[in-house]
Formats: sequence, structure tokens, C-alpha cells
Amino acid sequence: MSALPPLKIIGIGSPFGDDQVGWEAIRRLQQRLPATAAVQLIALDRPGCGLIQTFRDADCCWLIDALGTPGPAGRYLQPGLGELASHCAPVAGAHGWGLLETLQLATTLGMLPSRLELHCITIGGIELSSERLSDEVCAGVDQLVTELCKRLRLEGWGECRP
Amino acid sequence: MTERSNKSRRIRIEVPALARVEGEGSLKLMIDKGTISQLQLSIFEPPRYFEKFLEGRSWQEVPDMVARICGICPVAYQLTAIQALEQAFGVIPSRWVERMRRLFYCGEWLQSHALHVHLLALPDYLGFDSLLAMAQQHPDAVQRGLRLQALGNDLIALFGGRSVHPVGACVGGFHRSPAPEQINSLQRRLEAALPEAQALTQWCARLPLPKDEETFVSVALHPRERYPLQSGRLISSAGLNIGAAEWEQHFHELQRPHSTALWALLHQQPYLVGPLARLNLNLDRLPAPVARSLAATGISFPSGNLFHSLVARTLEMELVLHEAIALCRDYRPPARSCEPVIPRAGIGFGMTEAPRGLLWHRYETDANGQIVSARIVPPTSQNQARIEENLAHSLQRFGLDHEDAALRRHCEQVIRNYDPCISCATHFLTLKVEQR
Repeated sequence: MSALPPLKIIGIGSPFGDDQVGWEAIRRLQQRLPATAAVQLIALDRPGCGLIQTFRDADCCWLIDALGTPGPAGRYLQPGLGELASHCAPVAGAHGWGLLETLQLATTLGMLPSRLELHCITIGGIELSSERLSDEVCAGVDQLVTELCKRLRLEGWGECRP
Repeated sequence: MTERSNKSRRIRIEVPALARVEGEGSLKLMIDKGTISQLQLSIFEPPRYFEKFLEGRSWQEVPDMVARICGICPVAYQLTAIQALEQAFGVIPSRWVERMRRLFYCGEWLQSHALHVHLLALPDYLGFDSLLAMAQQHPDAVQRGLRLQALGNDLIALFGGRSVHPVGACVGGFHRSPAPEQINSLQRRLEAALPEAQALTQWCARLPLPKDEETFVSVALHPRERYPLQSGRLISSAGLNIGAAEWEQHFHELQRPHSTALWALLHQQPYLVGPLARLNLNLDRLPAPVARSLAATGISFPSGNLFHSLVARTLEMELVLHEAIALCRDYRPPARSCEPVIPRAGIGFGMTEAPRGLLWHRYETDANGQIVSARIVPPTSQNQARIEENLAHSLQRFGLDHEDAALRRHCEQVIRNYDPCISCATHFLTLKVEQR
């Protein structure tokens, strides 16, 4: 296990409704992963370009975020950059900057980790007045965390508690 | 969109969503027979009612609540509210608290200015439509911006627990004090960043900034000794010199139909707040190394060219690095990081310099320290009238006979140059409910 480079798992989110997907996944992983695991768990609040500084020194990084799509909510997807671009509507406000633009910028600057994976749960929209995940998205996070724990065990990063 | 007739050119430009600004705003411009017939910077982001949310809440909740007004300048909101509440309660912060608040604020200026200069404004000055396009040819400039922004964020997080909506500041001081080794580590990074900031100022000063001189009133804080951050009297280039409690006697806010943000006028006239206004009014407050850096730019200040705001921002980045290094160098952990606070009924005022300009707060509290009323005047709403006035003048100087795309680019550049934070500006609206 010690031969593995450290893994960063970064959950991106905000306090609003289903946009908390990244935070919730990190929270559940914190409960299940022992402190000895070679994994750094980080929750970020709408980091914009600041995300690049967070993952720049990582060899391996898994990003967890909510993905707004027209289909059913709660699906677990692992999109590539091209697929992310096809899902993402142009961003207005908040400096017109989202996850897609940040990853494109990091690509241009050669600052992407050598192994970067995107783990997304689809959401229907963001309910600004809600502090809870919807039932479908909550179930999606269960599936996501289960899958990530399986990967962590198989690849030797750490053993999640049940 | 353009409509042309054979006899004259009628231009209608609509920018439905301004890019590379914080929040949601739009621009409408109509030019009829060579004359601007309509020009409106419309702010349509929904009002956020923060002042009403604060009513009835405890004084202890206020710093964390107002931090939520803005993800870019939460420290400004926290420290201005704290200043007002401490005045209302008669709390005098310790020297350690005052110094650490200044250090905390330095972090916010650094990250906010680094973000604006590198990621939002520079594409305009270097002739790119987007940051992504600029990054392909100027990767070093973008990486420098990211490094300086991250350093500012880390400084905020050191005192605030996190950089976005920090939670470390409270009425009376801070919930905890950083360990000396954390400050030492930060100091080394600040010292390493200083040459980058100095080079940035000189580089930006040599960019082909538009020549766009005009006359306006600058408004900023003016402390006795230092460059303004969280203290000083409020002065203007037109002779104003007041304390925070006198703000309402001189400034007036009003609603405009096309904006969910209030406009502010000084003696019924638009005015400028922000880096250029601060620098114009505080040249004699610059530390010697920063004054030398300014002199080396060859630009003469006070300046009436709004595009010199870019250089003012870079110079302020140098300034806060100098300040922060000095504050770190003298750091001693305190016996206690927070003064005891006994709430009481009262009225308090606060004013500080947010990265985008003057931020003014007023709170009335009851005997238990609950908020009876709150009033918050952020910089972007104060600049709104100035932006429209500047746009009209600047377009005339630029020439209304340019192609639509060029007119649109110029308008966006003028607006972005103010670094408007629309989300900050829309947290109030006089709401009149009529029930039948």
C-alpha cells in the first residue's frame, strides 16, 4: 500500500439541495475510511479555478460532483471531458465559470493530475431552498460510495468499513 | 442585434448575460442616428433580502450570516459588521485583534484582485475572448494568477477556517489564533510571492490600456497613517470628510426600474469607489517600496482613466503582500484571541474597504444584542450609476460608428473593469406588498 501515490478524492458542491452530492459523498467516505488509508478526502464549496490548485500536486485524483442533465436524477456516471461538455449548459453568472471550464483550463496549462477521474451523480436541478438531498440522488450517492469503496479496496488504497 | 435603414444606422446591442463578472447582469444599448438613446446596466439577479434576514437574529450570528453575501469578499462583510457591532456594544478590540484583522483582510484583497486581474480582466487587455484562449498563449500569466489567488485563499483560511464563507471571525476578535509555525510558513510563501506581484505591476502598466480620461468624484477611506483597509475617515476628491455615522447625511440610495440593486449617489451625483478611487486619494499613504513601484510604472496618479484601475489593483496586491509579511514577522500568539463582549441596546456603524470599494454597515440592537434593523451598502451598488455614466462617455470617445461587435466588446470591457460583484449588490430591494 505504501508504494501507491496518495489519492485525492475531491467532492465539489454547495449547501443547496442536490448540489451537495460531492460533500455528501466525502462525508460518507470519511465515516467509512480509516485514518490510515492513503487517501485525502476534501470537500470544496464551488471552488472555480481554485480547484486546479487543489489537485495540481496529486498524481491520482477522483472528482465527485453533481451533473445537471435532462434524464432521471440519481444516475451514477463517469463522464470524460467530451461527455461533460455535452452535458453542461453554458454557465451564466458566477464569473461564467464551471467545472468544465476549470478542467479545460487545467488541460491547457498542463496542470491536470496524471490520473483524473470524474464521478458524477445526475440531478434534475438545484433547489435553492432545500438543505436535503432528494431521495433519488441520495440513493445515487449510496451507489457511488459503494463503488468507490470497492475500487479503494481492490486497488489497495484502503478498506472501507461497512 | 442591429437594424439598419438606408438613411441612418440604428444599433441595438443587448448583452443578455454579462460574462466574467460575479452575478447576473445585462446591458441594453440603443444608438439612434449617432446618439445614445438608451443605455442601461440591468441587474436582474433576484434580490436576496439579507437585511431582513438579519432582523431578530443574535449579534453572534451576524458575522457568519453576512459572510454568505459574497463568496469573493466575505471577509469584508464580516469585518464591517463586526466593527459596527463592536461600536454599538462599546467593545474595543485589542491591538493583536486589530493587526490580525488587517492580515485577514490582506488575504481577501490578494485573492480577489488576483482573480480579477488574471482571470477576468486580462483577456480584455490582451485581445482574447476568453480566459481559455488567453491561457494558450499566456500560460505563465494564468498560472501566476492561480498561485496568487491560492495564497490569498490560504491566508483567509488560516484565520477563517476556510476561504469561502469563513467562520473564524467574531465580535471581539477571532475564535482561535493561528500557531506561530503556521504564520512562519505563510510568511515564507508571502515573501516568495512578492517579486511576482512586483513584476505583475510593471507588466500590466505596459499593456496597451485604452486612453479614456474623464472627470469623476473618487470616494475612499483615508486613515491617519496607513493605506486604507478597515479604518479611516471617508473622504472624496470633492472635499467630503466624514465619519461612518454621517454617511446617511451625504449619500442617498434610490431604486431604478431596470435594476434589483439600489443605486447610490453622493450629493445627487454618481461617484467612484474601489482601487482607483482608493489610490487616487491615498497616494501619500503608500509604503515606500510600493510608492517606488508606482513611480516605475510611469503612470501619473491621481488618474482620471478608469482603465488604470488594473494597475491600481496590481499595486494593491503588492501593498497587501508587504503588509502581510510585516504583520507575520511581528506575530506573537495572544493570551486570548477574543475580547469579552457584553451586548447592549445601541446603534453602530462600520465602514471598511472591500476589494471593490467602500462597504458601509449600520446595525441597531436591542438590550440582548438582537438585531432590530440592519442596513448594508456594498461597493457595486455604489458604482452602478458611475458605470452607466462611464459607459456613455467612454462609448462617445470610442466612437459610435464602430461595428456592433466592437461596441459590445468595449462596453463589456468598461463594465468588467469595475470588477462588479452583482451578487453582493442585490441583497436589498424595497418590497411593497399590496393585498386586496
